[in-house]
Amino acid sequence: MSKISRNHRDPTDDRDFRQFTRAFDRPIAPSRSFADALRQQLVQPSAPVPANHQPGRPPVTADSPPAVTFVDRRPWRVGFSILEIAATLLLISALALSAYVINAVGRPSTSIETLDGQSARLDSAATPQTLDSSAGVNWGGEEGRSQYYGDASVDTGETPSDVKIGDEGTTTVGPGLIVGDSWYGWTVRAGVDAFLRVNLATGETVWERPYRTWGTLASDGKRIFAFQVDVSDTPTPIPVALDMATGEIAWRGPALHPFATSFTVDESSIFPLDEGTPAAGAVPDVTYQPGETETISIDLTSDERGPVVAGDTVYFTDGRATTVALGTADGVERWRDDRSDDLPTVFGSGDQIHTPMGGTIVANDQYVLVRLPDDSIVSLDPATGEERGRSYKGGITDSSRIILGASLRGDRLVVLTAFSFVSADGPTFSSAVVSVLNAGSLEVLVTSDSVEGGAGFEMVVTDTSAFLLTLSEQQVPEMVEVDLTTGAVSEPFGTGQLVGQVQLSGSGDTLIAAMSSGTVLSFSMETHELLDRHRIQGGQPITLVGGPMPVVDGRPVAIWKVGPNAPFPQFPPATPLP
Amino acid sequence: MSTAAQIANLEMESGAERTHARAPTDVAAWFDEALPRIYGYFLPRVGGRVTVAEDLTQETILAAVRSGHRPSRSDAVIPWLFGIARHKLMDHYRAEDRDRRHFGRPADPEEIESGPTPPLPELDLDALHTRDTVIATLNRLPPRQRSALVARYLDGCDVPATAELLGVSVHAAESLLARARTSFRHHYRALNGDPS
Repeated sequence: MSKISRNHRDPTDDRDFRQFTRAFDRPIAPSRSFADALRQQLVQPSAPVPANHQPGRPPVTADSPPAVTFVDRRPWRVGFSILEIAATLLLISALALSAYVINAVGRPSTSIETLDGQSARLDSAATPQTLDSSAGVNWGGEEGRSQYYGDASVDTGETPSDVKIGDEGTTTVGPGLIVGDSWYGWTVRAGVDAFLRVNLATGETVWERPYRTWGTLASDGKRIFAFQVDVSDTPTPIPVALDMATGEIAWRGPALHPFATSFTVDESSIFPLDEGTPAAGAVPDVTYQPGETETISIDLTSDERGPVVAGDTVYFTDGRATTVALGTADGVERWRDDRSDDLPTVFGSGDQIHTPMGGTIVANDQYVLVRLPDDSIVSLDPATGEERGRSYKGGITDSSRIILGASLRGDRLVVLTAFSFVSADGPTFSSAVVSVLNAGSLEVLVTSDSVEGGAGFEMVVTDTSAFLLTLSEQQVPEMVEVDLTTGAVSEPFGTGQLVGQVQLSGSGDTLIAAMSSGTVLSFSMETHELLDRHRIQGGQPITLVGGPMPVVDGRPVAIWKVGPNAPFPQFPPATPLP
Repeated sequence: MSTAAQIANLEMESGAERTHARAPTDVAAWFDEALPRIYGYFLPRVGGRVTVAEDLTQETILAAVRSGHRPSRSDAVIPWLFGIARHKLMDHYRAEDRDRRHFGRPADPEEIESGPTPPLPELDLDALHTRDTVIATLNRLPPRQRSALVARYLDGCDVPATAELLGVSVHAAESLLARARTSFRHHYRALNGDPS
């Protein structure tokens, strides 16, 4: 790869952009129909507002907003006034009743609705991550998610109080982690790069350390494992173990290759790695040969990769899919699998160009499986790191499919693949297939029927089934169950009940679907029946979809950001699931 | 003082200058003043897409009406609405970004960046063509870059506040802003037919 250094401008030289400040805040009158419709939802009818203006046009009244009265004197409006007033009163009453119901059940600013009228159990916590390697393993990130958190049946229990983390207005972002059955969470406070341990029962900050970590977190019950980022021109991820009790760094592992993820990629550039250095490169054609490149500082995100703990070993895989096995107690490197010289820096599939995103790893006591950037899977011996088997995606289904997610269940690896193409609406998946592989040899044992309408984006895997989020012919979300023994696909369920963006997770025999609307549904894995519905109100539940809902001590846990004038995260009242 | 509080103060101060005193508890008192301001805030930030701007405007105003956090001071209503609007906008960008954050994204040879990035000239932002070009350029950026530029420059947030809005570290925000500026400069020149 050719690498051409450029003459960089001062990265903070943004004087040319400061001319934009407040230049696009000018009032623009919306269309009359829109204004009238919205007004009728809120207030009594009024005179028409000025006509619509095209984007970018100067404001109608740059210094004084359009004058509007609230009395429409058009003759035909008089006859409607009574009806409109009645409708307005009805709307206001409905809103008031809704607010009363929301605030009367449980605690202020949150709400819970249950199907059976009983109080439901729903706790919340920091951005959920893998609890431990035995309870659930995921190949997640942005290429797909596969979740399953624990085998514990969702149960009723003591209802914790509302909990708010941090001071008023504090913004906390991931990664977070719930460890075992203790109500502790960790998060990174945005802006100040602080790593917090928070008591989720009280919201109290137990300790705070000035660490910047990257990726998801893992724990063995005594330590928290993470990538610590060495802040420099080329951020280097360094495996670290933090003492859970004190927050002090127990040990540091070897520096690994930086990550470059598609998170930082725009339409015009990709970010291949040149000898471990992240670089912005242009790919001029489908030869996948990078053009000139430029060393960059990559954008580190908090929701991509992280370590996995299995037994007394913690596994890290880096931006070049180099996997290291470190002792959880001392951080001593036990083995290393380095394939960075063998992997392409850019690769293609169909008419798409892929960027190397590093590896993703799943592991238990018997198996370590790494998905490599070329979409192949390698099985490693957890004791020695020796390769047991490798399967290219063409060996799983066919080479034109991409791996969306995988889950390790005992000695079987469940892999979800699908066709992927990019449309004007973003990436679209179709014709999803679930394959069951021997986790050692990677021999394909079962291949499911194709889920033609499948979005194939979310998968929950149990010992016997995989539950997929799909799209109906009407493009509404629904779910299907795939029998991992026969490959048979069930009839869709949840149709009409799932709305918007959905995040699946589950525990025991309960399937949990968190929707961007702020409603969380629980379904029976056995009967596919809707068990319960929880409405979380008072915030921006969009972050519900940002992560799965782990089940901790039999309780599903969620977090979301509440409104701009309220602190977040905030915890809803806990209520029992049936 | 937390960064979020600083943002709130900034919004309060900037908004208070142009806010007329009206009873905040009466929707009718602020609706007609707020509507064009909120709509005018959204429209250039969503690429001039009317339906998107209308949706976000409606969401903002309905959220304000339904919330129980209405400010007590009448001159704080518009800044309060802008605060809600900004979060709605960032949520919109996040939703866009989530749909795009997958590997396998095609690279468009026509839009490949190359060469250095000289600064933008001083622009006549009262000129329709210039405003349209800026809006179109913003719309060409990936959602995360767009959200960073909007928060930092169009809305005037400082870098820590921008980082907080984006939910990233300050370092990541600076990195994102640097790339966004570079990308914006390239796209802006391309739209203007400037080969440099």
